[in-house]
Amino acid sequence: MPRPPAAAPPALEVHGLRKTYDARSAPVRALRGVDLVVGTGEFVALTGPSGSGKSTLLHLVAGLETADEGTIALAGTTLDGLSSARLARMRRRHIGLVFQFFNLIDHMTALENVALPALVAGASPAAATERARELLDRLGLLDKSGELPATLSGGQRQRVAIARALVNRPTLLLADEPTGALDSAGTADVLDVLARINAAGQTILVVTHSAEVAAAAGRRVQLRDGRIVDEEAEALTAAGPA
Amino acid sequence: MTAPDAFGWPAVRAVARAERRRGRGLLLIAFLAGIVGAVVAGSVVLAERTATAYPRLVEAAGLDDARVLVPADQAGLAEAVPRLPGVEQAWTTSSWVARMARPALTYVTLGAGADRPGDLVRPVVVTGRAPQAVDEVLVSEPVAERYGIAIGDELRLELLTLPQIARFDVGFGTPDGPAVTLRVVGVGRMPAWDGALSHLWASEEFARTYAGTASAYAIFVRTAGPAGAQRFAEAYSAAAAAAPRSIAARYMPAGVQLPTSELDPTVQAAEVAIVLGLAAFALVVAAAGGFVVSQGLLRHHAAGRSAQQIEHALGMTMTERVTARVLTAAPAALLVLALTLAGGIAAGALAPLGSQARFEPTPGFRVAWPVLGIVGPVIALLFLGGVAVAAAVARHTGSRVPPVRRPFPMAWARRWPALLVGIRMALGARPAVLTVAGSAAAIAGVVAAAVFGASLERVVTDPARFGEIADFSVADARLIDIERLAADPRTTAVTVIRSSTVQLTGGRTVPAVVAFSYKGPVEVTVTSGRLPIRLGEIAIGPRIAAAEGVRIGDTISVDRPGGGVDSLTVTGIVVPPRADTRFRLGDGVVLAGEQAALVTSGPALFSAEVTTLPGEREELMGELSTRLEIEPRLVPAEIRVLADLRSLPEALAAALGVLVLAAVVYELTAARRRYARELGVLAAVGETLGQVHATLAVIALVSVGPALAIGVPLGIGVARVLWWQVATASGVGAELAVPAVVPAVVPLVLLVALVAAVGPLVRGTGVVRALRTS
Repeated sequence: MPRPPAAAPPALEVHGLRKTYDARSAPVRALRGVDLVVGTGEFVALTGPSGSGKSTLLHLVAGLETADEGTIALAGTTLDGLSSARLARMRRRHIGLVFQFFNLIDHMTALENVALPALVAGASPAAATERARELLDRLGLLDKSGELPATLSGGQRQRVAIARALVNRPTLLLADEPTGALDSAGTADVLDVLARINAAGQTILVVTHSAEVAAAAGRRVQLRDGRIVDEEAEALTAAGPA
Repeated sequence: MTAPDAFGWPAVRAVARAERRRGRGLLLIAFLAGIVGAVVAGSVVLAERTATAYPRLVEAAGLDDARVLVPADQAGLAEAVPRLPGVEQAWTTSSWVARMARPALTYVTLGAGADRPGDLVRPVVVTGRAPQAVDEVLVSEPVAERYGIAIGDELRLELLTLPQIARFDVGFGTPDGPAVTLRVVGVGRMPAWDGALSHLWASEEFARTYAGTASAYAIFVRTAGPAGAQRFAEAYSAAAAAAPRSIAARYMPAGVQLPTSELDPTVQAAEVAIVLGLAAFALVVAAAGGFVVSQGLLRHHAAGRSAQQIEHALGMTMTERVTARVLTAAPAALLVLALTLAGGIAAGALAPLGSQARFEPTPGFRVAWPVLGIVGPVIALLFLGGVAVAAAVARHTGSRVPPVRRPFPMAWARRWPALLVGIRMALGARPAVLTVAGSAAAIAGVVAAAVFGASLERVVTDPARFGEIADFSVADARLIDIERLAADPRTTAVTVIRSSTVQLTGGRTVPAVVAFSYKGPVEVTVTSGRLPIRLGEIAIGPRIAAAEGVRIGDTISVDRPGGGVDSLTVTGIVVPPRADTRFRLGDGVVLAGEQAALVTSGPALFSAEVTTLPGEREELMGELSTRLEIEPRLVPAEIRVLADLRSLPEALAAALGVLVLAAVVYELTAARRRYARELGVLAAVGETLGQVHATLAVIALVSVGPALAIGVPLGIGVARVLWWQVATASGVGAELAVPAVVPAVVPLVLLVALVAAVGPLVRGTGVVRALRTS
């Protein structure tokens, strides 16, 4: 995958992000001013205890929710004030999402699941199918392309979900506890895939509780009570936090 | 201490106490179940009352097994009847023919008898009371309706003598019998008024006073079963043959009438339609209500599955857990029982549906308590059974079983992701065949009821469809009267009908009509084909077409009175005018004059069918009625029976329609909830709100489209079969009328489905919640 020129903006740039949920008893302040920059090609692990705001940050970045305050820019394009339709188009172009419980569509084959985002983005059926086959092949699942998700193992399903997330060549791959529902073999599978695609230049932001996953990332960012409290950059750091 | 394998009643009681805290939700479901039960019980009570009206009337009115009308000049024969073989009881009464001026000259029969044995032939008095004084009379319901007679009216009757009856066809001047004025004190109801049973029934005192002036003896007989009736009929025929011939034998043939305790086939067809309609309504309400209640119970118990998991972990068996919940549901079941019984009791205030109301022997409140005593507890027990099943499966609910069967290829749909995903989701989740079959059946019900109702409406509102084209007819019309009518500028058409009978080869004798036009077009209803115009042709009524299995172009054989058989080609299906009301509507043939001369038999009756200019009818009828017997345009009994059914299909279509729409809304709303995760995924992979809407629209169309594609033609087919049966039994043409609402069903259901499917969508935090909780 070709790298963008050095002057290209970071894959993700977040400033002063705040989000509060209206709960029945009292408001829950999920994010209390988060600043984060993820450079192109980085593999960042977002860690922290339950309720620290990790998943909220991920969903805000994906444009599935909107922040109360702060800015989010994907590849230099800000998400502020975009309509839901524009956000959806931004998502097609810049975001690939991987969930803990795979969230594949049960009634569609692996190939159809992977090709779906490309079809939604307007690719021709032939191009979408070719790209989906190529990804399934790269992830070792080409022989399973006609199978339904229920017939695949957990690791295989998550690899299909990763292929689906990659089909539109997103700027940023967001993964929410991608190994949370997998056994050790499945976890190893998925970590191997993430490492391989990162090595190929894919920017990854992964939310995890798992030390094993965090260890695989080039940079670890810890959230606590809605704030970034600790950062540890390792070998693959391309750009540090502001 | 309880043994480990003993039933844990203490634990059951403890769990039941804990479950009672969630009792309000269960009571709400029970209320819904009770409402469904009330509707079902009400329908059952009403169906029972409707279906049993006629047999109850037969019993209440003491219907006779046989009856004979013996002319007064055969007194010996009348005296012999009670001693004939097969007779268990006999009641000899007096009978008169009377001329009544109301509103035009008309002839009615009057009966009276003393010393009635037991309850033999006792008309049920529906309003007023039975006659007691010599100047009091009870009137049959049909005559009261036909001539607008009410209690308190006075009827001036001029009684005919037997010699005058014998000269009925040639004229007899003024009636020579006594003239009496009778005050109407009651209206009576009987299963069969025809034949020897008079439509006017006077008191015992009248019978004693005027017995010597009677023109006939009407004798009602109770026999020893059907075999006894047969023996009596044979013995009476022999006795009548040996008796001296009556001067009025032509008008009082020596036959035995056997009033059947079976319902007239016409009315029976209507009754079957009513009871089937009610049963279908009750079934649909029960199915739809049962579905909603079972869903409610499943949800109610699924919400408490964590409690069951704890109870399971603590060692309670499934039987114990279910027993605890059934005990908790006992008050709710009592509520179901109470509401169901209330619905059934309330339905006791409703009269039998349609024409069956005419046979109800006890108008007013009536409940079949034995039926309600079964229906109520059964519905309450079904509710408890539902509670038990929902409680039993609750511990394992909440997990969706994903499909494992490879889906059929849909490469063609990949260009439109919403289509691809929508079809996959709509067809892939469950055994869609059941959903489609259920929806198709309900839609078929709506369409069938609507088409049947429209066909019924067209027949009862268009007199031409039941053979009443003319404004009025003149009975026993003479040539001079016909020529005067034809010359009258106020008439537009005058058709003379010559009525006699024809013998179908190997079959029965049916009325045969020849129609001559003196002015304007021939006034005979042709439902298809044309009237016969030459030798070798015949047009037949719908009843004969159905009975003989012949259609236009087929041939039908008739016997010549002098020997030989004519094979006639059917040129049309017609509704012949009825000069003789003994025959049923649509039960006759029309012949060309020269053909009729060869094959008809019996005395010919002539009538003139007259159509007037608009606004001239009443004046002309008024003029003619002073000297001629005028029959205004009448609605035949068969059509009145059909007219009584009018509101039923409309109500059924409306009720089923509401249920279909409610079911569509429920199903698609539930589908939206069921597919919340998939819709969240679609949003996550970049579908816009519009594309998600499109996916939902596809789900709606795929869910409802096949049901419409099957249900609409199926409904028309069902209506065709039902209407053919009812129309044929009634003697009218069986052409269907498809109302405008039927083509509107498709867009309406699709529109409702689309609105229901594309309701409030998961977006924003809803998407996230759906994805997180998957």
